[in-house]
Amino acid sequence: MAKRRKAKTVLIIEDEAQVRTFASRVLELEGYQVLQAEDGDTGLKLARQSQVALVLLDLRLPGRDGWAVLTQMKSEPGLSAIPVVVFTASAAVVQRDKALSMGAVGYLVKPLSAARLRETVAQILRRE
Amino acid sequence: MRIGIGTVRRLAASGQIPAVKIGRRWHFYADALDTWLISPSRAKPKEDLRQWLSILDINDGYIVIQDEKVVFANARSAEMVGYELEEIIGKPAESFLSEAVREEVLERYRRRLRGMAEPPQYETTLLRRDGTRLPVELSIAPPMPYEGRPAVFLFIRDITERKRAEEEILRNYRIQTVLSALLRISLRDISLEEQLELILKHIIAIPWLTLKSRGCIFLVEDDPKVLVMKAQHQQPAPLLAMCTRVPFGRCLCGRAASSGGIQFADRVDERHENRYEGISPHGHYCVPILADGKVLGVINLYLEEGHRRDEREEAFLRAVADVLAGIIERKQAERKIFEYEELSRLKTNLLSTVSHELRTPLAAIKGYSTMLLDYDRRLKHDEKLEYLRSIDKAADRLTELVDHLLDMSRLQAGLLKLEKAPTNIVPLLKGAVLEAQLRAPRHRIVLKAAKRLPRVNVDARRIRQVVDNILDNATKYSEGGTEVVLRACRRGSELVISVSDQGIGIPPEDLERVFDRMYRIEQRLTPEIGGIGLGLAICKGLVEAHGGRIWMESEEGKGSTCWFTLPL
Repeated sequence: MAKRRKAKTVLIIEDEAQVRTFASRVLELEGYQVLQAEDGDTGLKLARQSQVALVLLDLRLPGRDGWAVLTQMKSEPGLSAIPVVVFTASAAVVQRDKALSMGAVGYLVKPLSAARLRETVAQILRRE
Repeated sequence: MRIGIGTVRRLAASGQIPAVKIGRRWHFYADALDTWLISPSRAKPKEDLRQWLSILDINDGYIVIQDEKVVFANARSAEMVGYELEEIIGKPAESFLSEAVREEVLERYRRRLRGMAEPPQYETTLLRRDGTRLPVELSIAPPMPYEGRPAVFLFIRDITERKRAEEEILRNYRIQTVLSALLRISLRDISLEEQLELILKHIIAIPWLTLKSRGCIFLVEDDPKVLVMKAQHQQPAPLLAMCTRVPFGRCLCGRAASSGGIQFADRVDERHENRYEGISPHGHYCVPILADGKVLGVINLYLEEGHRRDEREEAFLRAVADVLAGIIERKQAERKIFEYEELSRLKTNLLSTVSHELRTPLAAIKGYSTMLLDYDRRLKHDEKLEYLRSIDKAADRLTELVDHLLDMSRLQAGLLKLEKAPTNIVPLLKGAVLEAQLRAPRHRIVLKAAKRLPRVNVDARRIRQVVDNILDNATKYSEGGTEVVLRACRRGSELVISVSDQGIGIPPEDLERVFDRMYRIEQRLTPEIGGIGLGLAICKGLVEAHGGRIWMESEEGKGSTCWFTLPL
């Protein structure tokens, strides 16, 4: 907490309330600023409006799903540089490879621990 | 030009008219001779036919008609009409003609005599002495003098064989036409039942089969010893009711199925066991549909009473049954492939859905518990309690999910054991309403049960599960503040229970499917509502295991009612 100049913002796009609460609370406790969205469109809007350092993206969303959000982000100049960590209940290898090839920097499978979440986020933001 | 006998011989010797010389006599080829005689372009004998005829020695019959009477004939022509040669000389020509053709033939003869253009050859039938008919081809030469007066020379050729061959060809052609029409029907993109109906109509309408405009087609379905009616045309109502399912061996159709052979009846006889007061007189062809000796079904056709059994009709009907067998086997194979694909698609869906549904509560449990462990000191008491409650709820959700999956697989494998006991249904329903009200406090849940309902022999725990599930379903798909009504009454030998809501309703095309496994998942109508859609499928399985039925009625936007029955 020593080098706290300005907290980095993490955007969480997740429709399951419990998972969203968990992730945002952990990241808040880790000192990040957290934005929450229940669906893809809201998520994209928030990403455009704010200085987002990282997006945690659920793949199974109502309406525009996670894949579509990922595609949109990677093709939109203002958003394409933001690292996206895909966040899903599917452990299938094909899904993982597909997400990484589409530009995601990480792939987290639910259920996950607080430690796994904070370490993944910290690692990616350190790299950036 | 005058042609004498010498000329004829000369013409024959030089090959201009067809003849061979055997020994000292000339033999004419009748085939070619009549062509020569009736051809207008060739020279004809102008001298008297009487002398000329003495040289003819041909196999076909011929006669000379003068004043519409036979004045000359050969033995063959007499034989054709069944008389001695002497007997036919002097008889009027009309006596060898049946009434149907008499006027036409005589008119042709008269026109020919007057030198008018007439086709030189045509087919007709002769009337024989014994009253039978003989198909013949007549070749009529231009009028020539006979004993000084005009007469007409006629060749008569027996064409019985040719006619038979022609009829055979026509028959085969008609059969081919019917069979290819049936195959065309089979290629249409409609259900097997619709195809069978069209095929039945087509067979009944064949003009040369003289069937009554009525019939049906049975197929063997799940029960290998029962015929199930799949298509029918103008069957009388009492029979329809009697014959929806016909066991092998019963009545004519059942006999056709058990024997594998065509059953023919020229009237309603003792084999016709499915009958009723006032059944109209008729006969039957009941034709089994066979594939490799296996009975796939039976075609039931109606005949006029007294119809004569006809081997050729039976052969044709067997050919129709063979075509049908091919169509049915192909359709059934298609259906199996479709069901298999559907099943594997469902399995894939089920797997990914179950995996998602398991992982979501697991994510809450894992996430919140690691949070509590990692950040214990930095979390306030209330917040910790909130997370613990979430963990508790997630565990309940997992339990429910596992129970549902287990119930479903037990039901599917037929392993579910019911612990039936005589049960008073009203207290059971009251309990269900009370608890459902707790789970959905914003709804008004009302019980309206008829007085003095009899006890039912059921597994109370399972029926409670059904009621709970239907009630939860009703509150899940309707707004808070609206009413959900649970009703129970007796109807005949059944107890009828229903749950009505004032919710979003179900589109009519989905009413049947709501009881399918995973219906919800495929629709994803309301992704905000959790669950994997096994609830109603389990209800259906449980109600059916009790010998009851379950169904849904709905008006979109106004609400739905889910009904189920329990036998008393």
